[in-house]
Amino acid sequence: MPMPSLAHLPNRTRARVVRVSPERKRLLALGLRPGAVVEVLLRAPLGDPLEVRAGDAFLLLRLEEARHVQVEVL
Amino acid sequence: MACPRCHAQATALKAKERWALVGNPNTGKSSLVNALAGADLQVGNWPGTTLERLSAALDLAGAEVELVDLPGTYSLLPTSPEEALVARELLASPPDRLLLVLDAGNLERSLVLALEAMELALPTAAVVNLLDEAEAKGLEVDLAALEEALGLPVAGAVAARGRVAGVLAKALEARVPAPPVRYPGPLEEALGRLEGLAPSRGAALLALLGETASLPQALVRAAEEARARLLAEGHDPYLLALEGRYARAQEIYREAVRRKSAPSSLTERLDRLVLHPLLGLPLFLFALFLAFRFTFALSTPWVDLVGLVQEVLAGWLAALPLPALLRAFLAEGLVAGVGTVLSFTPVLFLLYLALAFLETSGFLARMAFVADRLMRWAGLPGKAFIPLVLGFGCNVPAVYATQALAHPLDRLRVALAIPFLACGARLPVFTLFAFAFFPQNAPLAVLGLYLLGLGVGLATALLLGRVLGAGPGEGAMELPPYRFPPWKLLLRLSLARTASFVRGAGGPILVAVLLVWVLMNLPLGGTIPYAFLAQALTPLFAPLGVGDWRLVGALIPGFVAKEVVVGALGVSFLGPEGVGPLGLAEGLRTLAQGLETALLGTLQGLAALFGPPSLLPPHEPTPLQAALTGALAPKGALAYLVFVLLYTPCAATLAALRTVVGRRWAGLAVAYQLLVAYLLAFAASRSLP
Amino acid sequence: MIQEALALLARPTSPRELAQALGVRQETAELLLRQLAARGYARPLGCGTACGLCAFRGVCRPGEAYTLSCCILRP
Repeated sequence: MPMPSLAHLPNRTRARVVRVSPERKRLLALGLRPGAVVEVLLRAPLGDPLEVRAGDAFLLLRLEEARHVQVEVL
Repeated sequence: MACPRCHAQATALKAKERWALVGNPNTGKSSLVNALAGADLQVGNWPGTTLERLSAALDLAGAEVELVDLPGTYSLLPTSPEEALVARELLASPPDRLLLVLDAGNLERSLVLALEAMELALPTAAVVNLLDEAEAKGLEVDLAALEEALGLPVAGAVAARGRVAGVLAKALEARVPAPPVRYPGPLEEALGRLEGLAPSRGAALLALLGETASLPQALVRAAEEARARLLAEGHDPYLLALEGRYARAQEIYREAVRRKSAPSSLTERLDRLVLHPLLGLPLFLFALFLAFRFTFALSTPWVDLVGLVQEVLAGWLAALPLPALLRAFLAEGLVAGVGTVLSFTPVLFLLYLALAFLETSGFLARMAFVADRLMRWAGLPGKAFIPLVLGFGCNVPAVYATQALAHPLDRLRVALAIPFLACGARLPVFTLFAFAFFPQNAPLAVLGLYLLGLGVGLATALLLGRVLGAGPGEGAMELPPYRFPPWKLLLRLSLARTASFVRGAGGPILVAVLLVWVLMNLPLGGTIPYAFLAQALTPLFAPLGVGDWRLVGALIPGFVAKEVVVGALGVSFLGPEGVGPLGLAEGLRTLAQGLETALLGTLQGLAALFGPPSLLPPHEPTPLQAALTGALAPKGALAYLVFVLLYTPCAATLAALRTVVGRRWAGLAVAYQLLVAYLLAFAASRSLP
Repeated sequence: MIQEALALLARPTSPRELAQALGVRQETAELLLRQLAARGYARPLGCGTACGLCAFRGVCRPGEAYTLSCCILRP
């Protein structure tokens, strides 16, 4: 079964990042690194963009970008 | 008393010892010395410097111990005189024991120095101070794990409160540590070959990195050779050293420090309010409205003051016995030129202040979140909204702000969109015409112009994106935690930024204003160039319903700065204002009154900031407005307004564009804008009966 | 870690971004940037004009705007 992406993670559920698509290196720089603990805090109306907590930081992420981050629920 | 986790044997206490305290600045080392030694403190200077030297004598288990506080440093590799002193002292007169003072709240950073100091092969113990601050930050330091990781005795302390119970006991357990860092291969090899010549691994490393003070000659020579060899092989020992150290510091930090409580839940809670699906957008619009209101309401009194100063200066100049043309040049050209530049400054300063406030408080990022959808429509990242918002205050800083965008194509597209945004300089033109021609609907007309500018700008960005094949934008950005803006810093920063603008754009604007004065006043071959040029261009504007050459002429100085358009119109329609000579005392009095008015105006503006916007009372049209209504029909006025909104970036903006996107694109922008302005003005003139 | 840092510094990078990418604390990243800048591997950017992110280098001291966002760029 394919791993859920951050885009599908329900709000306020903690998960750990497993893999980030290689063409989205920028996301790594923001803190979405394999092993980091993430949580979706809220979504804008229409579900896009999202506010995500990654480690200590808060990030703004588009739904499209969130699809590139594979996570496993904790 | 024993240190079960330590690796080597404790060093025995001698009858007389000197202990040195080493650590980052602001880790409470002096408090520690104070807490350990009580009253016996000695303050002096390090020889040959003005740096304070703190020491104290201590009687411990029958031995005489001198505690010496070395200046705070982040590394033994010096970047300042204090730091150089520490390395020198430790190498030239090594203490009997080294006490590493670590900051519990910044342990990882403290470890960088600690690991270096541990390589000096001195009996060492560590004190983790500022435990209370760490706890306040939600960090928990596992002292036992730290002992294990470092192989040294570690005591915890809160020196400022006198809680130094275990420190001396652990200090007595100090021992020479095993090398704490394994560096990358090439560096380890080089070190291995040098260690025989050096008093310690640390000394060898310092030599290898080129810091040769207080080291034996033989070592220095061998190190130079080894360094040259490494560099020739393409390895910078400095980078290798940093690699080893930071990696190890990170490792130890992860083993020894736990985050106890969740970070700033305040930020999270605020976000749920600020980014609320329903509240988000209104809050965002309100914040924007407030920011602009702040900027324009508070700057207007000062811009008026600048105008007053101009008048007084011109009056004083008019009183001087000078040839008439020179007098006019100075009074109307030079003074006006400087005045124009200075009139930018209150608006810019306040705009930067407002922006810095929004940025440092964290709100700006949240606004980007709300604006993301709109940005995405134009194919831009959410962050692009920041330069666009700035553009409504002044295009110049907005263009520079595009450099924050990661993708060069994004930078280009936003930079070219910005000049369409109605900046503060265009507002006087808008209000002048709107109140003269659409008195009932003036605010609506002005708002319409603003929205038109935004629409054209975004459409340009979108179009350019399609034409140049821009990929899907990246929206991801960090939302910094909310924090209280540091006021003093905001003021200092806004001042610096404004000063930088004046330095950069002041010159070109002044030159341009002088040129325009020359055009308008110096007869060339019988005619005035300004009138000649304006009359030549006027037929082009006929389809727009603009037939009066004076209106067309005013557009020329608009290339320099848009607010000059109003002045040019005034001069063309009403004749130049005769500047009467002004006495010194009279002028000073006027200035003093003007200053008072400006201050009052600022206070009033502040007080009214959160109140309802004052509905401007219908007032008598000014002479200029009366003259204009005679020269133009409403549809012509609309077309003129649209043209002024869109037609060209001002000189300062053009300079900024050249810096940011290059000459070719800047030139293209001007041509493109002229075309778009003309077409849309034409459409506007047809839209009214 | 250092190679990663240098790669990031190819474009304006704030201490915060660096800290996130390397997995270190922000103060640690700031120290690293200072140490890299000391040997010419990084250069703090000038006043807001240069990167627009931060407000302004010559005027801010580490611990002030530095912790908010101040760019460091590899020359």
